[in-house]
Amino acid sequence: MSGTALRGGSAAGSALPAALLAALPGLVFAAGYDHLAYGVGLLAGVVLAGLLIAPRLAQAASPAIASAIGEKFGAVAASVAAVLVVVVALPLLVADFTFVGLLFERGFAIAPVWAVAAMLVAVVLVGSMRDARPLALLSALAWLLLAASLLVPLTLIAFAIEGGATVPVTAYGLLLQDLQGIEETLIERGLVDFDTFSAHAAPFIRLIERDVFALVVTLALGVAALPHLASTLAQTRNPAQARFAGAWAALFVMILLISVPALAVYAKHAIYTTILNATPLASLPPWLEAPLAAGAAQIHGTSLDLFEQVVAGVRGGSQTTAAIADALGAGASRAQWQALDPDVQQVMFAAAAQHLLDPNAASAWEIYRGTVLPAAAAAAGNDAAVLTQSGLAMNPLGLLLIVPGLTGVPGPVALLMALAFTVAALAVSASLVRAVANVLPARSDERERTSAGIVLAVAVSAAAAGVAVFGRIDLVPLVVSALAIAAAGLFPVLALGLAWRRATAVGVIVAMIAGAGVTGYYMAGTQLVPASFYATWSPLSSASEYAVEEFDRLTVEAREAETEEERAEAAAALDDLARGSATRVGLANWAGIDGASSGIFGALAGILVLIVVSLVTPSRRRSAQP
Amino acid sequence: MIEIGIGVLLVAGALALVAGAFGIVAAPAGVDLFPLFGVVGTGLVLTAGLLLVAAGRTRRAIARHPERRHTLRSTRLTIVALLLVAGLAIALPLSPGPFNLLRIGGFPAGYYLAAQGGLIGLVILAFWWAARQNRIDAEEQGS
Repeated sequence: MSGTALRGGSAAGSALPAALLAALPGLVFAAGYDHLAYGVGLLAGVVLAGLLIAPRLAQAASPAIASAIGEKFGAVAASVAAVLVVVVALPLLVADFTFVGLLFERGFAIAPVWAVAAMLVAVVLVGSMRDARPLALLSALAWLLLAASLLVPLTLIAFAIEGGATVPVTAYGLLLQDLQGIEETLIERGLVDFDTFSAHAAPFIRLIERDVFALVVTLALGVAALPHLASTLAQTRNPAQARFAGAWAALFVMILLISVPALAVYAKHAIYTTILNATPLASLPPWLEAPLAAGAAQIHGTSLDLFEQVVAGVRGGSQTTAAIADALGAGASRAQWQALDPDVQQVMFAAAAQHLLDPNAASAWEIYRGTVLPAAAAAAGNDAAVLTQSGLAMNPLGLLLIVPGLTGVPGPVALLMALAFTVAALAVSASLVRAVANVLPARSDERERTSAGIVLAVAVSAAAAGVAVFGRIDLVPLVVSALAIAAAGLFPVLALGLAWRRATAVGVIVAMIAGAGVTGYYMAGTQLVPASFYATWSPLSSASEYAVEEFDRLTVEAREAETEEERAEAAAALDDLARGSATRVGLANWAGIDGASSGIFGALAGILVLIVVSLVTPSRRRSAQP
Repeated sequence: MIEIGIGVLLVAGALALVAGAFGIVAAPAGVDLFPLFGVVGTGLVLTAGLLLVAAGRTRRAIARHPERRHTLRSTRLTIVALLLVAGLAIALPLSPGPFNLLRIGGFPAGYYLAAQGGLIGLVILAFWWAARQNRIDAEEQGS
């Protein structure tokens, strides 16, 4: 029994991509009830991986996904599965590499390229070892650290608020009740902007029912079909033990996932209390410094991170606000700077110059909140210069940065969190690298992996590291898209193909291609060519009458445009309208489902195709008989 | 046998509701029950009926074909467990309305179930599922 518990705990440490886990409190903070769907979906996925898929893999000759599929359905099916494993693993590796790069850049001022390079070496070393025990130990350590980094701050915050020991994960109910009261007062006083505000416990405001449904199904099936999770649980080679290891893994993952909404509520309570008390921006509480310094939060479009970059620009010799824009490079900071009111730019520039003249007079944080923020507030029409709900924008990853400041011992807690999420990212990435190294068929001498597999794993991780250093990709959509491809391409085969005797090789191959194809087509179509996607599928779109009228008007404009330039402009406007944005669903959709949640379409297509094609192709057992 | 009978009755009832709603047959005494049940309610009645019929047929098949006992029992357990997973992970978060009328320790109950209760339920379900399937495997090994 204790063996399966240990195996489950170790699998739990590497079950979920660290970047997604770190973003979860911020997601729940942003959308309240609606984003609780993430936790439910992820845990349901762990249960399915352990109970539905791992026992089947444990019965196969090798627990790796591609070899188990190859054993039953032949080499072609194994190759298709191998390609899918790489397609799923690559974006997940990119996400965790990027995440660690950000963590070290913001936390320890180490250039991302060094952190990512060190991580690449560690991940490849641990992931390509023949012995699975070092990886299992690393994953178990990751779980312990993650649990500590979530539960220790929770306990400390609950202690500070309640003035005594409580069980934080259950005791926050009263705090939630209190938060609801604060929210009502804010609404009554007209202090919220309903574009960005939704009451924390109110359901279906940011996501409607069918979005929640599609998200839960995509996450659950995607986690169930993750290339490393079920295989790790199946390493015992005994289905009965694999099942209990899966149940233990679900228990350990559950402990992490139920602390997430608690952290979100504690942080939201602290922020909304600050807003309710009309706290002047010049005396902003110190726990907001960390997210502002990391650029993970913005107040009226500014952040401490931006101010420090302006200081660096002035030190580098920039004489005007326009020169600062050039010094900021081509990234998000430049766009953030150019979006600011010229008056605010001028104030920041002058404050930066002043700070450089006498660096010891006041810290950058003091100058930022005392000088820059009141100017930014005035430009935004916030004449009282107090913290407002609409003025504060928070990245999903920024919320965790508030937490250490709320505990009373910010330094050690921040260090514990950074350590925990780094080790978790290492454990997940090394597990994925191991899964990639195992996709090439094993030789007859029962060695688990070939040197070609290791070469492939090194190539895939190096590619992921390269993208992580040079690309700036939004992490949450990236991880969810990878899970959607896993749900669409791999889940039907792993859940139904391996269990159903009548499944045929042709059925399995076509199902993998069709499932991944449908989801891939949906994600690419809605993002890359949204206007023509909508034109093709307009009867299925959830577009409003108003949006359709606008689309038709732009279409006519594009058709009647006289110059090439005008036509290109109208086509771009059409694409923007059809693509939608983070806050507005575009026209290019099927039933309003977000591109990242489209795993549900692919999984459905994959299951249907698997059943139909298997039934019309001759069964293996019949064809095996002479 | 009894579950097949009840199941057939439920399916017939659901079909009658749909038929009444679309005016295919005149509703008895002019009462249209469809709005009372709604699409979801009618769907639930229909699903419950079909599941009962399937359960009854599976029980008979298990009694008649001892050589297929293991497959049939495992398949039945898998389907029941998957339905329970869907209930806890999908149906529960989608229906917080009625639960939110209650409060559990300060939480609106619908919120509590989506944030914690459903997750705890999934873990209990996972242990039950593992124990149950292992028992089926152990019992059927000899036969």
